[in-house]
Amino acid sequence: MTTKVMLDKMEKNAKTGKVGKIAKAVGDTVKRGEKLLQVESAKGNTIIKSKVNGTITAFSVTEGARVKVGDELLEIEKAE
Amino acid sequence: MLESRLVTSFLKSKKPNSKYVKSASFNPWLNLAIEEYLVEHVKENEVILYLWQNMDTVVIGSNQNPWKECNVEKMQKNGIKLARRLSGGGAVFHDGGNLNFTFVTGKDLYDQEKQLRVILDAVNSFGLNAEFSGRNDILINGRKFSGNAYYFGDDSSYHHGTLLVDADITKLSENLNPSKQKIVSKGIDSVKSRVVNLKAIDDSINIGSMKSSVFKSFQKTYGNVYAYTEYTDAAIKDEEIRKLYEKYSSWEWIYGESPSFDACYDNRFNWGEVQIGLNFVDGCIKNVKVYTDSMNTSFVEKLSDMLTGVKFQNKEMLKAIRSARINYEEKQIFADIASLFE
Repeated sequence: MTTKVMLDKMEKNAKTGKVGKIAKAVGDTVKRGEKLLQVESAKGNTIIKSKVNGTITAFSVTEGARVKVGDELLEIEKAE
Repeated sequence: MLESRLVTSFLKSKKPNSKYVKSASFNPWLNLAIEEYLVEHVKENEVILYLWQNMDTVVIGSNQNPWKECNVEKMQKNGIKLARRLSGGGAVFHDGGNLNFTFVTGKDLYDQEKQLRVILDAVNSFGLNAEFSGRNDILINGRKFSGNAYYFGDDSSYHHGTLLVDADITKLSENLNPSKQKIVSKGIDSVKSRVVNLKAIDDSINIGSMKSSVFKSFQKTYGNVYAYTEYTDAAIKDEEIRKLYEKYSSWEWIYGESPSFDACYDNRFNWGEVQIGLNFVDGCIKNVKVYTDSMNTSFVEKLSDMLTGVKFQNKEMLKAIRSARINYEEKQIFADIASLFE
């Protein structure tokens, strides 16, 4: 099953930010709690971690992209 | 939800256990390792004040590009260290005239306004009238003497900042200037500010008096400290701190953590004009694009093969070019291209 990773909320209730370092690539396996990427706003840096074990199938953003709360960031195919 | 709110308000109503930590080391990588060690080990009912100083160092934000923020080659020649921190924000210069403070707290005790108040009270106890800018800076008469940044872990957080007391402002501006290289970065760019040393405003302020003022103000707000730790360079003997130190001092962290970026080189030589666009991922060359009006274009593919995967370090790039097999006609072309990277 595919899980969409959304930008649910940012630290200190920031609404928009810029995608910083993306720690993973399509095809990488990730574990729950592992760092996926960072989104930085004027209020600080938010670290997005995986909530599931699985494999990354797609990124909807690239480093440097402007994003807002509610945007989709990537997709993970959950491990069985 | 209600349950977690109750726990939060209970923790906030109860006076937290306050702790004071100081580092006697001036090594930025060790001091950042200690800071991360503290944020990993702080208890949920603890607030730690950590004071530390670095000698001649540029510290960049988590999502910044060092080549965009400073002159990496010049810094290496002049013995200026480069460090990447966990928190976001822009590049800062540290020397012995700058004092760094960090508030490390359990997640629920994190209170930025309260923490900033500790610093403002400490500075204003000298009779000054400092104020928070609303953009992570603390100002006096419209000029910045403190930049603040934040890191939020799963169970704990930190808020840290600089205090320019008597820093070398000439060195500061020299080292926060990038080289002339054209870099288009996907990272976070710094915002230049007019800065001021507190000593220039009140001559009685020095690092020692500022340290004790911050400590006093911290105790006034959070109560008397129940524990005090001083770290020295020997902190590296601790296995956990050593591992963090290895991360902070590694090329992969300092340079390789940069969001992807492009660097451009161009020049006209007697064999033609050349424009080279290098795309970097993790600090290493991922794609090479060459535009030339030269009649001889056989070097284009060779150059791409030579440079792909190479680190963004002049010596590595030069080594890659100089060690490649090339024919006689290309000799001058590659010598000229190498000169672009020198």
